[in-house]
Parts: sequence; structure tokens; C-alpha cells
Amino acid sequence: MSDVAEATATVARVGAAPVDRADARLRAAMVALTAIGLGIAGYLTYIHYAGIAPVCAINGGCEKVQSSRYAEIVGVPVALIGLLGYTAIGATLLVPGDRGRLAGAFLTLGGLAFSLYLTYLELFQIKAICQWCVGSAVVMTALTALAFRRALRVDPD
Amino acid sequence: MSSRIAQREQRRAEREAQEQASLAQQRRRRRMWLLLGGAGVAVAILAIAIAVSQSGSKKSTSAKGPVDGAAESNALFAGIPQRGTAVGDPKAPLTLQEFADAQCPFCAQYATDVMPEIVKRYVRTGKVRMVFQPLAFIGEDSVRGARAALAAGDQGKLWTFLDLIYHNQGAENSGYMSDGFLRRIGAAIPGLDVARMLGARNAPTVDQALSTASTQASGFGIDSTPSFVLGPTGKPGVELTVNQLTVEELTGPIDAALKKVG
Repeated sequence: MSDVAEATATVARVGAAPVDRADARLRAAMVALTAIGLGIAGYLTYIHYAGIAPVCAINGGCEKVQSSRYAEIVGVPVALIGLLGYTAIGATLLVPGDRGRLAGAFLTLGGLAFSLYLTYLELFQIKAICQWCVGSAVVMTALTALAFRRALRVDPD
Repeated sequence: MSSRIAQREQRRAEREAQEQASLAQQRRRRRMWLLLGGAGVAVAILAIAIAVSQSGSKKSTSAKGPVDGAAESNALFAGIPQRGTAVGDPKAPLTLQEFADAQCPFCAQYATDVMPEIVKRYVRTGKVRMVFQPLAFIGEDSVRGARAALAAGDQGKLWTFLDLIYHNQGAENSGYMSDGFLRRIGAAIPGLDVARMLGARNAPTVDQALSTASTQASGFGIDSTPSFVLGPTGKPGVELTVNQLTVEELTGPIDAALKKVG
């Protein structure tokens, strides 16, 4: 982390360097987090469609959450929405320059808002906690922080 | 002379650097506002979504007017004997036990999509009797629903009552299984004494039924609802594998078992 700070300071002094190492590091961290997010959402989507039976599990918050009436939004499983969201965020990481950074910031912001909404549903409507969903919310929060850091740090041009 | 030029140069460079810095700062500030605006929009949408989900759950609890599915539920069980947790001919060769939670959306799905066919084909024809095993694990509303249904069972109306709960299922654990809700459901069933039903919810027989069901469930290793156990009436049965909640998943084993018992 101190490396990142150092690089940031260097860039701030010198101005936008041709190869922005600090930005590359932030991006690498986002790539890693996006991969984790894709893994979680992919697993939950698989579970949803592999149709571990349409049942309400007696133990296990995850299955309770996934089999609740909130697991789908107009017929689209929430897990699939997550998978698409992480894919889109991953795509912005491939877009070079400021456009990609800005798109990443807005997408992660949307993802964070959605995660917060789902966490609200878990806590106050379903009253069961799914550790995978919590994991995804944590990943999304970190992604948002990094994306904002990226979008704010570099001079837009 | 040269030093003056150098000084001028230096001043110009400083001025330019300053201008650039202030421009960069301006841009950064604009970017900050843009992102803050985005965050504001996100927060607003989040607040609206939460408000909508809350009003949605309230609407289902305070709905007035006719009870959804009342005609269907009453017609489905009309003329079929109900006693306690059972529906159908007590001498039917097979018994189908259903372990279910009144709040479970898939139990409601079974009740609307599959059960009517089972009732028409097997229960009405005296081949199968169905027994409700109340599980209540999703939350407090599950317990309230199960107790009310069991109390309606005292008056031979459990299956009709439960079916109507499913037809009018509210948001999970939202507190919708209120006395008002249960009264509305009960009032839609001809011949049910609603006050008596509400008063019987804490009867020892109701406690007994709840604890029996959960003992039976753990005996069968049942860990989800709806779960089904099929066997000859009066004998232990076996749990059915239900993966997609289709009519065939139940009619298959029932037909096979009917052949066996002759």
C-alpha cells in the first residue's frame, strides 16, 4: 500500500506520466476484486439454475435468501444481475484512459447501491443472511472505493 | 541582462505552472462533483427501492375486499372429508404427508400449480389422503400461520385455510400474518367459526401437532419445504424426490405406489 502512496505522490509531483504505475496498480487490484465478484456471482447463478430444487431450506441463510421471493426481479435471478454487473465492470477495466475510469466509477456505484438494497432485503425483509451475498457486497464496496480513487486521482482530459 | 531574462523566464514558467495547477484543480473539482452527483442519484434510487419494497409489503397486509382464491380453494376441497391435519377418505390406501411452511413461496407454488391436480386425481377419488405436517422455520409469521391453520383443522377446514394463506402470501417475515389477515382468510371460508379458530391457536393439540411435525421431519432427515412422504395409510412412508415441483414428480410415485397396494 505504501508503494501505491509513493507512486501517487510521484505522479502528483511530475504530472501525468506516460506510464501511470499507480493507476496500473489500482486497476490490477480492481481486476482481482472483479474476478472474485465474478466467482461469487457465477457460483450463485449456477446454484440458482442448477436448480438445487425449488425449496425453502430449513437451515442455511443462503438457500433461504436464494429461495425467497426476492431472489428474482421480474423473473431475472439477482445472481445473474450480479454476474452481468461484474462483467460490465470488468469490461470498463479494459477500456483505456479516462473514459474507462469514469465508466468504472459509475458502474461500481450502481453495483454498490444494488448491493446495499439486497443487504437491506436480507436484514429486514427476509431476515436471513447469506454469506456469499455479504461477500459480494464487501467486494463491491472495495471496488467502488478503488474506482473512485482511480477516477479522482488522474486528471481528466 | 541575462539574469533579467532568466528571471522573466522563471516568472513566466511559474505563472504557467500555476495556471495549469489551477486548471487541473478545477477539472478535479468538476470530476468530484460529477461523481458526487452520481452518488446522490444512487442514494435516491436506493431510497425509492426500499420505500417501494416496504409499501409493497404493507399493501398485501391491509388489502380489503374479496380474498384472492377464495372461490377456487373452497371449490377444490368441497365435499372432501377433512379431519384435523388430514383431507380425504380416512380409508384411502395411500397417505401423502406434506411438510410445509405457510410462508415458504415454493409451498405456495406447489399449492397453486401441483396440488389441485393431486386432489382431483387421487384425493377426490379416495385413493390418497393428504396430511399436513406444519413446519415453521422461516420466522414468526410461519408460526402464526401454522397455528391458525391447525386451529382451523379443529373445524375440518385446515386445508382450505392453508390454501387461502398461500393464495394471499405476503412478504416474508413482514408481520403480515396478523389477526386481521387471519380473520379475513377465515371469513372467506363458509362454515368456519373464525372467533373459535382464533381462540384455539394455543390449544395443547396445536402445540402437539407442531412438535410432532418437527420430530417427524428430523426423523425423515427433511431439511427443506415443501417435502413429501408417501406410504400406505397407517404405515411409515418414504420421502419423495422433488426437484422441479411438477405434477409428474408426484403422480409418478403415487401411481407406482397405487399399483403396489393393489
